[in-house]
Amino acid sequence: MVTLTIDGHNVTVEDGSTLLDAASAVGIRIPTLCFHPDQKIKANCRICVVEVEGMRTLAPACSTPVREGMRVKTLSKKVRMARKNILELIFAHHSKDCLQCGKNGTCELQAIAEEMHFDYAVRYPVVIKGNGEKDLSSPSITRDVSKCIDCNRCFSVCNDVQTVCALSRSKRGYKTLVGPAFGKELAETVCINCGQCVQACPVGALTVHDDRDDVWDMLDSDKEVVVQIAPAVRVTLAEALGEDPGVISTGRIITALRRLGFDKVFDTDFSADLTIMEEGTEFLNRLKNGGTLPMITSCSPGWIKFCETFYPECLSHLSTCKSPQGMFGAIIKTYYAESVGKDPGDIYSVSVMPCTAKKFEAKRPEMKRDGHRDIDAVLTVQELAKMIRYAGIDFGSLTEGPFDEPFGTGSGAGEIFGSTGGVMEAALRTVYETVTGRTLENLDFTAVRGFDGVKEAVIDLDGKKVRVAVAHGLGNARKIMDAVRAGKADYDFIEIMACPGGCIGGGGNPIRNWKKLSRRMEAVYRLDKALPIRKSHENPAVRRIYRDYLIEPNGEKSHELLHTSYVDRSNIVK
Amino acid sequence: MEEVRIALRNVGEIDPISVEEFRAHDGFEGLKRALSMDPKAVVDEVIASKIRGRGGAGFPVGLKWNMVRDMEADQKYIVCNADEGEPATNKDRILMSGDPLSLMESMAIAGYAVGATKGLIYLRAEYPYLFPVLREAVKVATENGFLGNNILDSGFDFSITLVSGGGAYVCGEETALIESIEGKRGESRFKPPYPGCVGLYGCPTVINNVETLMNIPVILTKGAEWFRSVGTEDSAGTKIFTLCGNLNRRGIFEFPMGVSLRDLIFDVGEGVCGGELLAVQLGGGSGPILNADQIDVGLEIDHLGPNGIALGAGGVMVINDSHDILDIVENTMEFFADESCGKCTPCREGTIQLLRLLRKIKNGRGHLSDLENLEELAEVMTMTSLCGLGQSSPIPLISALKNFNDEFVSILEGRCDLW
Amino acid sequence: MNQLSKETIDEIRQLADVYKNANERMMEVLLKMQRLTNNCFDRETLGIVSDAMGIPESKLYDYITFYSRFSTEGRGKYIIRMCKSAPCHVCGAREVAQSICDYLEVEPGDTTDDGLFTVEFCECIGLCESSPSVMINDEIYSNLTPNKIKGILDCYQKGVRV
Repeated sequence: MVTLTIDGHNVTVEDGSTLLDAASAVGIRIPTLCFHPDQKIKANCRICVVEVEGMRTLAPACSTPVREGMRVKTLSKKVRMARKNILELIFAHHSKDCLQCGKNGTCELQAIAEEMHFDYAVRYPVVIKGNGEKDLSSPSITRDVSKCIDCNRCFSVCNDVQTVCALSRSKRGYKTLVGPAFGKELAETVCINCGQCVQACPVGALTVHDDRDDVWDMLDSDKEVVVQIAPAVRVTLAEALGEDPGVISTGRIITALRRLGFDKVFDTDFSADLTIMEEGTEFLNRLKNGGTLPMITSCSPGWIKFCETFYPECLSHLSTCKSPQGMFGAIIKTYYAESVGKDPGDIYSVSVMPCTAKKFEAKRPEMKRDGHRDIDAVLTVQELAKMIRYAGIDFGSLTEGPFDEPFGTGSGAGEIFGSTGGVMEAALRTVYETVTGRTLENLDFTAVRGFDGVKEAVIDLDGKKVRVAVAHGLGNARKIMDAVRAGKADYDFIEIMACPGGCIGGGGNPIRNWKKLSRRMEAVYRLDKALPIRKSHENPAVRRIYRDYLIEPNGEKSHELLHTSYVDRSNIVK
Repeated sequence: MEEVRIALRNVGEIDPISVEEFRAHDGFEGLKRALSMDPKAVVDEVIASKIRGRGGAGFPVGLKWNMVRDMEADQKYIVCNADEGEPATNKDRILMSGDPLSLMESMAIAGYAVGATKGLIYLRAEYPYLFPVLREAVKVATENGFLGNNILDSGFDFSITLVSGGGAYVCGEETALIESIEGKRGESRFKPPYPGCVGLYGCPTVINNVETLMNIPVILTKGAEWFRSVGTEDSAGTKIFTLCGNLNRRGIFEFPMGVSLRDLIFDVGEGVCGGELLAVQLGGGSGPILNADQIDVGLEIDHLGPNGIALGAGGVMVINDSHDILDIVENTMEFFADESCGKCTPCREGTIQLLRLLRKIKNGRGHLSDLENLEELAEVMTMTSLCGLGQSSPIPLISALKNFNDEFVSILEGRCDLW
Repeated sequence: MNQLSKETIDEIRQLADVYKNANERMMEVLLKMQRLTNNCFDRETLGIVSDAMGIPESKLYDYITFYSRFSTEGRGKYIIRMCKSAPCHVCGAREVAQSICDYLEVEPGDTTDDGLFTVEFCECIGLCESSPSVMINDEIYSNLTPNKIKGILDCYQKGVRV
């Protein structure tokens, strides 16, 4: 342990702590920009500098290790002068049109400027970065370099965590620009639309592609507007509206959506259960008939594009099942349209997702039939939260509403799709009972839960040992996929989610860090535990649709509506 | 004035890659002496010599070595910083082209002293013609048993690899240099940890400038005491000066620390050509710009005279009075704006804003308040930049502001008269 | 855009084998490759290099745009690097640069129509005691005057050794 003094307060912290940690321990929050709790220390923005007695220069709190007897000042005249100047240097190239910015109100730079009373004119010639054009090429992510402050948080997550490497830096010095190589548009690159860069960006340089206006217009049209909400949404939407991370607000979301004018509010948990029926059956068939193993889940569209781009030779390992969003989209424009006697063109299908890549998925050519898109618009949690605020709805005081039938029932297995390991656990519950014919005593497959990057387990199905693995975050996926490609992966079934933590860490959620993520994960398993039905095959709505329409999992109708194919994208320059 | 050649001892005297001629001039005697000693004693000898780094920062070499020596590690490295990018210095080019074997010898001594078996020379891209020379030197040294395995039957192994720079001044900063060797952009790392603890590929690493290393064999052969007898109390030994700019005689000259700047200009350099003395930039591109009244100083590493003059890497760039001082400062600040790595905010944005403000003043559009703004920004860059580049880049401008204040003020007042 | 021959692509692959994840050889290998590819790594070329070296395009781009020896735009057979740092500047570098540009009828940064020369400004090339100086590819020319450099360029144009 090390004892030091910060602004006159004695503090004792663990050896190896930084001044930022130590300050936080005495309740002093030092402003930061390049610092991100989930990333390695960069120490490049210098806004966190503090004065350390005896040091010639100021020290960045984020990277300076504590030393015994250090005397630190965080608010000295020197420190304030330095921070003010650094902020001024940033504002000399940062577009200050906050009103037109997607991060207005949630921007870290704006917050620091406000806290520091930055109310004076910049004394230097102001030269805004870029050519004034936003990159709107991606259906998922909007990039605006005029807002970029070169903190490198996006670069770090794209390269180090996701290993996608869509983002590069060009040149050096004041000409440095973070973005795709050769000034390409995002849509031309290997970007897999995961939106982790949006989560990492402290300012408005990377934001979720905004589809709110289209939806607002449709809500005021003659079309029937139906909406589905994904499992993770119910544990992150309240957080986006200022409540604590992990607050469950399913019923309030349903009420809010009705107030916004949606005609029907459906539960994506239903199609998550449908996914388990299809995927579980597919897995058992592959196991029985010597199909390609390991089979890998296909719910995460960021992961799918990653596989199509970096591991095209492994596409046969992917389950052919659409994601729950994709399945639901197809069901709405066919079965549902028929059952309510409407032309699919008169139904506008919206989904609320924790995910930016779902926007890309919805636009894939495979997600379309007879000229109609299965999903017409995807809203992220961030966008829905903004719509609720726009409508002046006091989310906190809403009463809880029920989902609409016939797709209003989901199981606990569907709920846990939101967390890494959830799809695997849900599948195992059904696969176990299908194979053994016995009731599963303990539904909690804890080996596949939690934040470990790669999780493994062996499940005994009456003598048949099934080896499973779960990876989240594409850097972890890469480790597994290199083994799969080399034919050395000793697994039968693998779950991969593009985002760290799974969907609860998705790019469309409110900005997160690991601390918030664990609260969201706890909530996901709380939801599961509280439900009377916790296995997909016991969901009555699922049973009903097989009886009335689909006939059987992996049957002809299922293949037409619920399964898909993949594209080799190895031609994109990596 | 008589030169005292320690680092330059063999330059021009021998065929650079002839082992025979090198040995006839005491070549490899330092290495032999070192190998006969306990490694710890070699470090102690270097500490006792009080030699300090010749690259500009002046850190005591022995302490650097000692830090690495004390580290427990499977692998340690000796890196020679031959990324001589400082404008107005090109001593290392002369040293490497004229006496590459001494460099090999020095690195091997360093390796033996700290327990490193691998050495790397990071040579700037602007010296491509030195690669064949150094490659040949490594080859002949290895063939003759002075590099490679079991050097001179001592059981000590040491190999040297040449690494090319790519044209980036910042790579002369030791942590940026390490990043560059590792195949990355040459962006400086934050310190601590220092390279002595976490350096190349995460291993303890000694990084020394070429000139620094060239002194080492002589310290071993003639002893620390002899070395200390040259130069001054604070700065032992000699320094190589690059005399350039508007001088009648330009070139590379080695003198004991403490030599007078006036003597360098008017005796060694044979006076100013093309006009009278206007200014001298001392140390290199990041050094202070002095006026003609400030040259009566002795040059040493820590000279803290009335003008805060530091010797830097030993550049002496003389400017005659046909030049406009603002033009010279603009040129220097352009250099830093071009060469900032762009990692940290104060250097990335500060270097270009200093230049823009300066141009505003130069073009007659400035206000007196801009001088205060320049000074404040410079202070912030010095206090908050991540590495030495950003911390020292305002020096030329700030020194010129002080030492040529009338020139700046007269432009600004001229402008005010218009209003 | 570079149209690389099969032979050039093969040579790039062979150089990539030299690299073999030895990070300290990265610069050397890329500099050698660039000599094969019209002194530039344009989009097409960098794609080929990325493939051969097994390094993502974005990482190579990140790297080459940092170091001034590389270019992403096509350059001539000879790159004339005109030092503009202070020791050259105070000894008449501006006049020498002007002379080069006038003689070749280009602006700094441009390539001559015949593809022979690209003229660039650069920072200190370490020839301060004999300034003003330029480098033409790996050759150095010092103590230049506006007239002297014209004679040198003339030799290059005629293919005569200087």
